[in-house]
Amino acid sequence: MKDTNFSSDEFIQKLKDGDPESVRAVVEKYNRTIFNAALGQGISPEFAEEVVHRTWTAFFESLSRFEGRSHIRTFIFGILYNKCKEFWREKKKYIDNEEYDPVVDSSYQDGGWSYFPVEVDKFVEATQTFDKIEECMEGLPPNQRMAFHLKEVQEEETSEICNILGVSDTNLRVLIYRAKNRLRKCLEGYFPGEEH
Amino acid sequence: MPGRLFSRGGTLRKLFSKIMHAIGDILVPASFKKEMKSCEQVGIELANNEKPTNFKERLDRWIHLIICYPCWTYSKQLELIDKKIKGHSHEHHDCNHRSDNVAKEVIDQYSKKKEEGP
Repeated sequence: MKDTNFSSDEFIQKLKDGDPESVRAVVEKYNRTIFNAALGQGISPEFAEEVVHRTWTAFFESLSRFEGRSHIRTFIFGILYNKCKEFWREKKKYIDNEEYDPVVDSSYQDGGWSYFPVEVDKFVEATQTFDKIEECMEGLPPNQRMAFHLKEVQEEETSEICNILGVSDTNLRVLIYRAKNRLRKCLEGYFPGEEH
Repeated sequence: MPGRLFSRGGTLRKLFSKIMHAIGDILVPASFKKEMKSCEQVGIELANNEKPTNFKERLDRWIHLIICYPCWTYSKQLELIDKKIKGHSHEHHDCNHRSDNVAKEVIDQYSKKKEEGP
């Protein structure tokens, strides 16, 4: 469904005026998406309800300041991202964003690989149940989780994700790389006997 | 692709990769290697699902399959993670009712303001 009208000046004005039909339209359009995005951050369904509720509250409270420079979806996701960070801070599971210094990874040494990744067939076993992936996702910083989710699950445009996370194109690539590489390494950790 | 040939034999692929790696070390001139992308750069491209766009990049990627031998395994692992997470996130239908409840509450909360007036 095309949603360009959600960003039109007329629609935004109606929202700012509290028009019930417009409120209903925007909530019905994006609520499930942001709910799933919250779940994608490793937040349980019970807490996702709370995070999504906070997101909408912040959205309607800050709507008067929305100038329409970005798509309304970008604006909503930006708020959701901050609410997820808030949530992780409260749960004391917040891992601060990393510096964007050159990527130094223990997988690589002298231009080559320092060890063989675990064979794919074995790796499949680690991904059979989602529990292990979820455990590994808990170790990701919020910006990496969100970058991964928006890019791979929501399939958002790179420019939009950059706006939501406030990062450059290059930084986004590194975030996604780090997210996937951390997950990969974490799952590899389930094979203690493997030759590394 | 070496991976396709040995998709069922991990040990065989590992052995093949090690031999190719050794051959690659001898055959690929050091000067050429200097111009190549690092393993890490290729890792970033693989993680971002970026395909080589020109001959040089394609060649780089192929040589990485030889010199940077676990590239294939690495990319397959990333693919598996992607698929699993995408699949899982589409299995949240049982949470739709939760999401719909939130939507209802929010609509009621913010539509009411208008109805109540100033």
